[in-house]
Amino acid sequence: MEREAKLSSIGESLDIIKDVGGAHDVDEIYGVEMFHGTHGIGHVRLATESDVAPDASHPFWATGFADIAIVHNGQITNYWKMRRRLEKRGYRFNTDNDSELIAVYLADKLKMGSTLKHALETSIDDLDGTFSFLVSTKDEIGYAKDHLAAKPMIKFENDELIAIASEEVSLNRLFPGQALNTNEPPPGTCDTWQRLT
Amino acid sequence: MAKIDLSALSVTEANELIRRYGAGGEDVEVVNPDAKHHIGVGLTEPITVRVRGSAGYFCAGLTDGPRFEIDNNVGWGLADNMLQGSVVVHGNAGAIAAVAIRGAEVVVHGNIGSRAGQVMKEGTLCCAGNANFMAGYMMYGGRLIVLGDAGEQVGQDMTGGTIYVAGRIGSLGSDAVQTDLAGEEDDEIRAFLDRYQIPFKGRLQKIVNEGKKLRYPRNEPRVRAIPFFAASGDSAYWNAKVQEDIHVKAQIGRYRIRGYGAARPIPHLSDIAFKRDLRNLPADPDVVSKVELRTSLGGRFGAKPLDLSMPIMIAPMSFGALSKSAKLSLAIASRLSDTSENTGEGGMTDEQRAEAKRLIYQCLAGRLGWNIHDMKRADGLEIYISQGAKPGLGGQLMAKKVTPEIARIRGIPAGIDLRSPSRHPDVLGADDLVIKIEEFREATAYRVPVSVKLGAGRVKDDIKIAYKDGFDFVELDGMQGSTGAAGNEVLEFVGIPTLSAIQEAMDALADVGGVEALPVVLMGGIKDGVDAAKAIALGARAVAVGTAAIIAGGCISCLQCHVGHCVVGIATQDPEHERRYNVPAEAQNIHRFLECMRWQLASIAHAHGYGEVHQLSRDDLVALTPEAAAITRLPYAPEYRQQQDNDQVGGKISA
Repeated sequence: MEREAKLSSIGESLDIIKDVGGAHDVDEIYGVEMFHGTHGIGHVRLATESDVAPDASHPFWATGFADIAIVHNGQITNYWKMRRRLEKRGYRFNTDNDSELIAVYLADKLKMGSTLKHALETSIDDLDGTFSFLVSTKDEIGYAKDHLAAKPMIKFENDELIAIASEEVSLNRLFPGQALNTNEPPPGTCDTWQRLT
Repeated sequence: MAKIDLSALSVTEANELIRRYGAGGEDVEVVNPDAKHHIGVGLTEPITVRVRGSAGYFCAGLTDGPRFEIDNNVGWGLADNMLQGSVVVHGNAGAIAAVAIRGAEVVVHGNIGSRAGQVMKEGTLCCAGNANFMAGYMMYGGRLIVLGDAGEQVGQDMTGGTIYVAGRIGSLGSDAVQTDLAGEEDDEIRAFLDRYQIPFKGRLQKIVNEGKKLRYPRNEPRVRAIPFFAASGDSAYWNAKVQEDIHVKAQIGRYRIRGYGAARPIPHLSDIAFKRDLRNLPADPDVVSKVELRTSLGGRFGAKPLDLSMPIMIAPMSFGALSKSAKLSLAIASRLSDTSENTGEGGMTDEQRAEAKRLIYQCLAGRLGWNIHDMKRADGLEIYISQGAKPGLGGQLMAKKVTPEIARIRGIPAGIDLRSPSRHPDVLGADDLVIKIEEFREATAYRVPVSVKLGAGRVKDDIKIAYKDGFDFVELDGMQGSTGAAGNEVLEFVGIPTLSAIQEAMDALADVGGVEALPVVLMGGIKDGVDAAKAIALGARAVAVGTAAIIAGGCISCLQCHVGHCVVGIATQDPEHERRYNVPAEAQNIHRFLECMRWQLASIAHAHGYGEVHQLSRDDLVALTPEAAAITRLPYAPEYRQQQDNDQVGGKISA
């Protein structure tokens, strides 16, 4: 059993849940609906390689760096090059999934003293490929979108909340029956929102 | 006005209802749309559809004639490939609004996302707000009007059409240039805006194609070219062919273009052999009746499958690369041999549809010739991702072959050097492909199988995606596969051999447990029934022949298909040359060749004692070279090569 168990994350204030199934299935088992908190991110993965296994699904975190998680839509094409650089600096990768790179990259920047916003800005130029991704730390939530705008992202914001999803149909769940005034973040942009303490 | 509630019905049910109301001439109101995908897809009646809220991807996609009005926002691919009609969106539109439209008028009152109007051919996209990155990307014709600001790289790679921007232009795309706007043209735009009640008092800037990219001013010198197949006869370096190649490049200053596929020797099906000695079998004219050859493709998701009389199909080849006469004889031959034809790129002609018993309709990235009406009369829909000759690249049809008729079918201006994009506007990942397949199924009421055409590149990954994404079958094309025109270095050095491709495909399917579920049709240098038998033994459900079929129909393999003066009238659009092609005679020739393949396939299966051709398996094969053994993991048995060297005499077969 101990050999089978895989570490999903270690954190102080961040909970990561990964399992097989849709959003409703995960909610039933883990009671996500009951969660009390300020922010969260979620992801459903279309597994194209061998197994439909939770350890290959998102969110990804960075080993040794607590409380950061990302979810990603797209393909990072300079994954191996960036991964080798980060491994040389002591970071460990748990999977061969290119999305994991984003978490490690951001963790590295934050460790070196960058703000999350700045880390996202540099990620847009440093990462090659297609990506729309969301990041969550203890106090902040943010997104970044590649220069080609190849992967969808739609945003809804009002005085009380910020909600971002791949498609509008997901956001509509927040306000059933209402047509929301959403907009699409432009390509090559990023932004962050901070938790009010 | 009829009312449809999307909170009570699925989109599929709603679309069926919308089509039925359309047939009855009744307008429709859709409530609780909830930003769902594919609303109104496949509608070909001139009714009004009002969407009371937001729509998701491909709203009004693959339609002809209706008027759509959406109260709020829409997602990607608004009015995808719309032939005629109009769409008005009061909110914002996502990426690729009005992608591939062929005459519709699309108006978005809010902002539009990136790559708006990508590969549009005719019609108007008008945005009262701002446009995003690469507006008008790869336009072939029509008008794109932006009353707000346009982002970076406006008009990138446009071939035709016009873009009008009132606000700031972020930057011009490559091969786009700003030019003067004539008074009359300006009046036309304002008349359009008036018609849609869009107030506008500003000034418009006009952007068109500069015409500098991808033009070939210098032709190759007219000498009798040394065949590309002769290159590796002697030395690999400075042999006669390499010298000729360098001499020509020194004159034209660019890469050489030619037809066909890889010419240099690479591992192929001839490097594997059947274990059983097939040299001294009696000729049996009746053998075809003793082996079950019938093959069914495409029933995986409940569509009407293609029931072929044998596992040998005609490979996709376009009307454009080939003459109409050549395509016609292929269609006739496919019917006589009770198998299938494939339109290839460039659309379906009435003649093809009339002659072929089963016709697969291919959709490429440029959406050239793609339309909802032909989708509905096809027996299969195929999404082309790439082909073996040039995986990962787009296509070229030289100006000489873009005749008025071809231009009309494809929806582009005549006489342009046509470039087909390498990538679909709306397929940028495996997840997008799922939605695209869904859109096609919605448009045809789930009746028709949807297949994918893949050039052999990263086959293992691609096959897994094809399996997961829900295709009915795969057409897999190795680097020996041919094309009408591509750069020589691409043909020779990009891709992997057909033998490697089928092995990788089978390994991939074994990994995901999909070996029985996802049939693979193999092509790329299949030249006879023996190759077909080997391919099937390796795991292919069927094979397809392209080059072999046109050689049967008269091709002399000069590899000058791209020039447009094919001496036998196959790869040409010039009437003088095409006149030489005798359709009924060549149809019979191709048919006879297919029947020969049928006989060979049956004979080999029967010689093994199998009553069913798909009983052929890897256990029946050995590898003749170390490379083939490494590729296929078949036992290395060079002593079998002796069998190969026997001639085929009368009814005897060498395998």
